Amino acid sequence: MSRAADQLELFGKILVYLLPAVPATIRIALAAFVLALLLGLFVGILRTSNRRILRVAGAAYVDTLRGIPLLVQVFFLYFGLGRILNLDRYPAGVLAIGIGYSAYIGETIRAGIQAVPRGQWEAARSLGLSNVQCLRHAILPQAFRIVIPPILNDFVACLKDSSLVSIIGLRELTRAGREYYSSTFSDFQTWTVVAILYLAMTLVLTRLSARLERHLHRGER
Amino acid sequence: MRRASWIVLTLVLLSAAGCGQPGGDSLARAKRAGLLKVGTDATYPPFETVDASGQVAGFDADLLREIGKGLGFRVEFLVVPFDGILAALKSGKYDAVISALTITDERARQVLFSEPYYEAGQSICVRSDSPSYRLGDLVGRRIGVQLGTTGERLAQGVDHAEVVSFDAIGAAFLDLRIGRLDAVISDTPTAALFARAHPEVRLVGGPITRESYGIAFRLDDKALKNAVDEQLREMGRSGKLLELRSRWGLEAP
Repeated sequence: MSRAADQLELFGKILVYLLPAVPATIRIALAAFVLALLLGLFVGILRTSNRRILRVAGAAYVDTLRGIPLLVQVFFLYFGLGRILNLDRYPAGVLAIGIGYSAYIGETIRAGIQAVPRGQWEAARSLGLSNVQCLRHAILPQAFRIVIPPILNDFVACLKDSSLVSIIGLRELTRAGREYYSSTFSDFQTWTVVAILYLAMTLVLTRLSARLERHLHRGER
Repeated sequence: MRRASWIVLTLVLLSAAGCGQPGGDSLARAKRAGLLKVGTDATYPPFETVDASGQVAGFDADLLREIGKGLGFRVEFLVVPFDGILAALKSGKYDAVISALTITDERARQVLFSEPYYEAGQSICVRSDSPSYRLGDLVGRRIGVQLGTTGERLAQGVDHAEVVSFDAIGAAFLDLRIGRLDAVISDTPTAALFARAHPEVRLVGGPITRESYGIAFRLDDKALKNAVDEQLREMGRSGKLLELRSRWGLEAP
């Protein structure tokens, strides 16, 4: 039984060591995701443009970023481009994850815009709105409602993928886990706690997203 | 509350399962199979790197291959990140570690070390145009180290320093070169090798610590340790150790 008690104490110690790294993970994921949303919105609109050149540009952006592993993008931004631009670890990590995810968000936004029935455009146009006004006042508000669940899904994935920046020495949850087990060698216990902490964060997020979805669809049928 | 105790129980059971230590005599097994599996982080010249043909090369690699020759087995190197190198030894992914590994009390509680085979120390590396920082001058500065190393421990003891831990020390040297770091702390021979190849960086004085490298085994692998120690002594007597040292540019201490 004392062995079980020792184990519990060890898990407690690991938790105390790792908890301060949780806000760092959330900070990196949030910053990256805000960037991804802004870029993604832009790309999504490009992808649904009437102009062929803009559509091609949007498609090229998405195809390029989606076709390169996120880990390689992190390496590229920190060790490759970062060396030339003298980018620090934090901006390099956030930029890499943010830009990488903007491709996925862009596709989600495009799907959302295209899911709004064609008739909505025509109705808005018939009211004398310009194309931009149509998008801003008629289409996007409806598209947002559609894309919120998949975008929250992307955020959960982004939170998990923030662990990739541990490779450039940015201190977040995964990095803290590696630090702990490199000096204590308790690999199994450390990774169990790291996994549980990620799970706790993502479970909170998915619950929130379910609630938000219900809220958005209240009054519908 | 009931739920919490279930979680705790699951954790304890899981960890008990994860603690299972591979038993048995690795020496006898290696002799029977003609093969010993060895973990190394091959990013640390001149001790271990991967050469152009994909083979692990370096002083450590040659040393252990030589030991294997004496004991009658080949050595197969498994390249792993340094921070997990002893954890994986304990869980039986391989039976020995040679990786410019400093013998420390903390590590010696977890694994069994051979007799020391090399005396090294930590050195501070700076840009050629920067002041000659001593350890105490690094307060509040950015220090690059490798994750899980004695150099990392040393840097963590410096007040308010921003310690940046890399997976491989080479990345730290490259960051030092372009000014993303103020200093790098690493083992002297590795730092010296990099400084020789890159005139933009230089070493500050000599080693600031004295450390001994050892080959690591699981705590219960006494037979393997004793056999390796015997080979090390023999190589010292015959001059083979010195020959390997000079082959890799490591001056006798």
